[in-house]
Amino acid sequence: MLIKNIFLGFIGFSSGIIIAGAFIALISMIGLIPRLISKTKTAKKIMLYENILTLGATYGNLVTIYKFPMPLGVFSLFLHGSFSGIFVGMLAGAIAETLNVIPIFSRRAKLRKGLPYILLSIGIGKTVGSLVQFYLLK
Amino acid sequence: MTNTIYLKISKSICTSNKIVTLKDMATIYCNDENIKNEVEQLNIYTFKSDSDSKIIISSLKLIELIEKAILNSQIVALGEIDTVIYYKKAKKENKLLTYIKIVLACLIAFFGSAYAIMTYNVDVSASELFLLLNKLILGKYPNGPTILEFSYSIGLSIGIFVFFNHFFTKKISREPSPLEVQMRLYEQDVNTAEVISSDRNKESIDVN
Repeated sequence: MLIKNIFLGFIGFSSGIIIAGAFIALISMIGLIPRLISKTKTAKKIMLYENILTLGATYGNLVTIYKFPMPLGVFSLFLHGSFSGIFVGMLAGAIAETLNVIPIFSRRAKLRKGLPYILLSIGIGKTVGSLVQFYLLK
Repeated sequence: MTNTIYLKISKSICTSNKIVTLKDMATIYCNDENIKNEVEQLNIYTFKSDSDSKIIISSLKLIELIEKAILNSQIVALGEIDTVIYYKKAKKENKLLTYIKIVLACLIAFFGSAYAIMTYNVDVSASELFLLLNKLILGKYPNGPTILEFSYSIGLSIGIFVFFNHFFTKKISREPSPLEVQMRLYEQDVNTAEVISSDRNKESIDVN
């Protein structure tokens, strides 16, 4: 039994490490956090951000695995909702950018102007789509 | 006798001085100290407006300026072909604003990465998989979380520490972390884009 438990622990530990690698590779290579840092001009605090990312991932993982109750009630919901919303919005933008979606589209459509409007529409579209999904498509 | 002047030109510089001299944007080597000093003090560009701005200067322009100043010289330009010069007014940093920005960025990073790992765990049904693994190895379905979940959680954090190359403030090795590398890459991309777009708009300073 002990051997089996050790084996189980070993599997868990190694899968955790591999998933962490993939997870952080995605988050940092996609250029989202570097952009956040350069926009806020706080490159000196890079270590702090890395620690925060680690803490965030650890926390999120513990929540999904152990499903422990969270304090602060509605305020906690607000924190999760708003900040993970911002994060996902940035992630969507970063992925679209990495895959060159917008340059390719505007080249194909021979668009030279109006890029800000296209971006604005994408942003509003995401909010509308999200609201429709959560409130109308119940 | 001709003197050879060697230039190593930087890719991008940031200055709070309106007058840009050659010394700001390149390292210079010349046999003759006097010529070296003279070349270093050459005025390359003067920013007119008070606001933050940028200009791109071609290495050909630098060569032209040096040739005008020092006759009979031979110039060897090494390094970058174009240099991006950012002018930023020297102003006192607003500490409070910086802290607010850091806190906001930290909140986004924290909840964002928590959200990302939660969606990942739910998306791949990590909990169900853990149940199956428990059954496979221990022979029965567990009542609650077992050593598997615990070690997975530990492994996750350790993996991130290893990837970022430090435990909180203690660096594991002296290499830059992936985020630092990405920051530099991003900076490079921005500079390259600046050079290309100013070339297209004919805004850069070049000969003729």
